[in-house]
Amino acid sequence: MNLKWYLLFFALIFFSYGANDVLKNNSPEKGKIDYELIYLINGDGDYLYHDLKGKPHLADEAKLNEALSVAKHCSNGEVFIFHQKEKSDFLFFHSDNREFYYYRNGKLFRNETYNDHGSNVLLETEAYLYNKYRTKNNHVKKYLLYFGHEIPEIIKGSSASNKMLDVDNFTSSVKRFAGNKKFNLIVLSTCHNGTPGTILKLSPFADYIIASPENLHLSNIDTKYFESLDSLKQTDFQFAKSFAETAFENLKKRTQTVVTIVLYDTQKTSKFLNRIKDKYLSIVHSLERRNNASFDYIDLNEKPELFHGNSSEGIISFYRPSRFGVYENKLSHSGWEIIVAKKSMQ
Amino acid sequence: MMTVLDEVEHTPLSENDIQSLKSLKKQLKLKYNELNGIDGFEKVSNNNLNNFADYSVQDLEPSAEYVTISVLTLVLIIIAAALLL
Repeated sequence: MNLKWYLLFFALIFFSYGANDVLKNNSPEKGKIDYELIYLINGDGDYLYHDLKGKPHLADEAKLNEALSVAKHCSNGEVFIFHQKEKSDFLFFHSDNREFYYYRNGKLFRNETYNDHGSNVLLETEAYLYNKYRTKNNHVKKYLLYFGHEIPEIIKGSSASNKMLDVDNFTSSVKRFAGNKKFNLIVLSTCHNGTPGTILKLSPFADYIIASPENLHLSNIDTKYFESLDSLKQTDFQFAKSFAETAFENLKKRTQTVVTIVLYDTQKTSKFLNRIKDKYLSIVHSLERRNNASFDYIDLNEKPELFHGNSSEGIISFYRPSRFGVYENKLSHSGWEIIVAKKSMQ
Repeated sequence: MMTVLDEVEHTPLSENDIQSLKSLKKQLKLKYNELNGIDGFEKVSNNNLNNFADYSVQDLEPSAEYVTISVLTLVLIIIAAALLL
């Protein structure tokens, strides 16, 4: 009798797992795919913010819910959502601190948790999952959206690692997602990534980049505009511009702090970036090498003599100064943020 | 609050926490000065206080900072506040 109960118990476990697996990973009928949308949502650094009613939100959870809603609306596309959560390892046991959602034609096709412990490269597992499940049609439009804190250009006090989040490693990751086709648009919903270094390094992999050359409120850039991808008849430029403007207007409504969102045309900005590249990267590397050096971010307009050239070509800037504070009367922004040594401006 | 932070800053803390406290003190000082119209700021008007409060919270919420205060330092701040108030 005991054996029968054991067998029944294990049978129930086996079939319940199997049933869940089928339910989560059911293969709906494949419709046409016109575009791919990749969400990379970082949630393992402090993302608590308060809205204007004082209600607390976790920015990454809010963005995940928005991404899932967008995915359900994208009937003619594939949506890949990667949510990187806080680590909760116990002793030697590594928990799955990441979750992957794959939507095809608006339906959930795959949902699984995973971790990156076996990987020594930034976003390697995410790129693997994306390449595993995508339809592999190189004629579709491609969009990559990253949400998190600043992707730093300068890493201080630690040895180099291919897994560390910095602009160079992030660029390598983007290359793995891009494959043979440039992204139509990359969106960086982070602070301080509207810099010559970031845009220069990502330019080979995108036609347009949206980033903020300032602090960006934790509530992030809205992406609900992507819900209309199926119905919009816009050029890539029109779509990127409308998206940036919509996100800007929404951020203005819910914040009192500075809002700066810039659309960079990677082809048109290349002339300016290539002109200043050597000097800019020299400053960045110099700061990185000096262990005790601290640095500031400033608007390029504050030090125009540092980098010559037409910095406004190829960019569209949406800017509203902070409603209070030292910069409340700063009426415009160049669209570029540069890194300089603190106190001893070069 | 500034008094509390001053007291905690004199305890043995990590370099990370010292920098965080200095940054926090600087930000709080700026907010205080602006609220009261000190040091070149125009005083925040009464009908703008709610907006200023929102601004203060949003400006202090970490948006680019990886440097945070350790649990130990936070406990020290709470203890110092309890003793001083």
